[in-house]
Amino acid sequence: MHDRLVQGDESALAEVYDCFVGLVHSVAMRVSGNRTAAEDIVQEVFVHLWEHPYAFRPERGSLRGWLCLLAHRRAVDWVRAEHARERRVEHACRTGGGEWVASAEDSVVAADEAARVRSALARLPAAQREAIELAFYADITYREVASRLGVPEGTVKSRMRGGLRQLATLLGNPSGRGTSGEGR
Amino acid sequence: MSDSHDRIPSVLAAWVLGVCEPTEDARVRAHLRECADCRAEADRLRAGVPGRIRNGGRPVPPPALRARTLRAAVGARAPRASVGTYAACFADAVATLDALLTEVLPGGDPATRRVIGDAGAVGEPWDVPGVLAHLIATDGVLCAALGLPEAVPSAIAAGEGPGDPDGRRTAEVLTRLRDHTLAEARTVWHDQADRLLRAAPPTGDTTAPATGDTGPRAPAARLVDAYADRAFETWIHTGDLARLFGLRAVRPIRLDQLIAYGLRALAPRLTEAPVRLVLTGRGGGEWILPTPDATPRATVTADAVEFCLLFGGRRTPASVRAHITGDHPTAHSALAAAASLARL
Repeated sequence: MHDRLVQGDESALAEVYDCFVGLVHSVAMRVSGNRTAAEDIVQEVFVHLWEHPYAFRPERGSLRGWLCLLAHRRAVDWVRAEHARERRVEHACRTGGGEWVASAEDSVVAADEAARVRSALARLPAAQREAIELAFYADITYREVASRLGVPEGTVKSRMRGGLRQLATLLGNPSGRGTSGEGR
Repeated sequence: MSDSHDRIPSVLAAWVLGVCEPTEDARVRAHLRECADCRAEADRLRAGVPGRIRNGGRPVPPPALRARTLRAAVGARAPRASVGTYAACFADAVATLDALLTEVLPGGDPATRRVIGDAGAVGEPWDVPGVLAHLIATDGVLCAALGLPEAVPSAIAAGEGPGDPDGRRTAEVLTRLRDHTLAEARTVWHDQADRLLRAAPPTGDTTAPATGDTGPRAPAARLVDAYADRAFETWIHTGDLARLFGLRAVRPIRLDQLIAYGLRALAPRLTEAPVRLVLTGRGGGEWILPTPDATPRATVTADAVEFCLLFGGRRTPASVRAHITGDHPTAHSALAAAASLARL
């Protein structure tokens, strides 16, 4: 597949898109919480793969993992830029694409929870946040996260551990929900 | 208690997040059944997992996003040129080198602003300037033969004079482009290659004579060979650059065309060394040379790319990874004949 992308075979890009768009969109949507932004990120991620096929190194892990990582980073960048913009504009015009929306399937409660989680995640150190979000949203094994980020596996494991501990504190546990978890 | 206890706590967070390898997952589960401390730690970590998020329905990307994304992609980087079948291998090779240059000549990098005159490239021919100059020179030979404008018109006629005409032309191009940046030289190469591709329309006659020129460096007599030759050379040098920059060399989509070209050149040299050639992998096949009705005295089996590298002078008869059965001297003279075709 990578061979075909490098050699400019556009049908290969269509195949990659069809295979991974759900996942990439999901990562972008979960992190940004914004439909328009998520769609822009999907477009950017696949255009980047097509324009820079050598930026993806197959020997370092799966295409799936690389696309998720890219989507995650773009989404984090978007959230940062959006926060900066909101601070500038105060809260005047939240309608210009900055509306927090959850997916159609999500209940209002879930949307509240999503916003609460996003805000907790935003308070983690960047490295912990990245490790946790890639696990939450992209289901990439910690080994692959390590390989992609070029850091030792032990580092990723301890980032996940430190991040989860802090999240547990930040999210609190008002209703007792969570301690039983859905457990893996 | 299992002896793996020391390793478990470090991996618990990854396990709670569900991102362990399957074997590790089983080990953690087994351990948790026995170890109350780790069970308690897993529960604490689980409190940080927002289960509602993980299990929430996935929003679906709108169908129109597909067309929008693909349109934006081909706007950012053109797909390989749409050309006649006989030139497809060259279109793929040009797209590959272009993609590689995108990676190694990033915008704003000092390398992009480096001018060729600073490169000392004549002594190190397979760095980026050397490869670009070499391909500009050798693609130019076919351009001239087809009556297309040459990017850097040469004072040296094809095949003229003693020694290595390609080397002299390459040196000439390097001198002429001395003040070009690598990015500019890339454009010169790509525009000329693109002219060659546009001169190979989808309905082209594959066996038409390419040129009346019959000198030692004259382009191949038939278009199908002339374009395969350009593809082969571009692919070989792209492989050189890939190695130089630690990137992966790609397997040509139309490897079959490169092999067919190589075998057409090889067959006449094997009249004294009839062999069965088994090339494995995508693009491979099985041939009896010099002619299908010959009685082979040996069988040479190799990966199709590996054999192309022998044609391209990037393997020697001694270093090529090939399996030989039957008469070894016959097989070795066949490998030597293939290696002798290299002139890149």
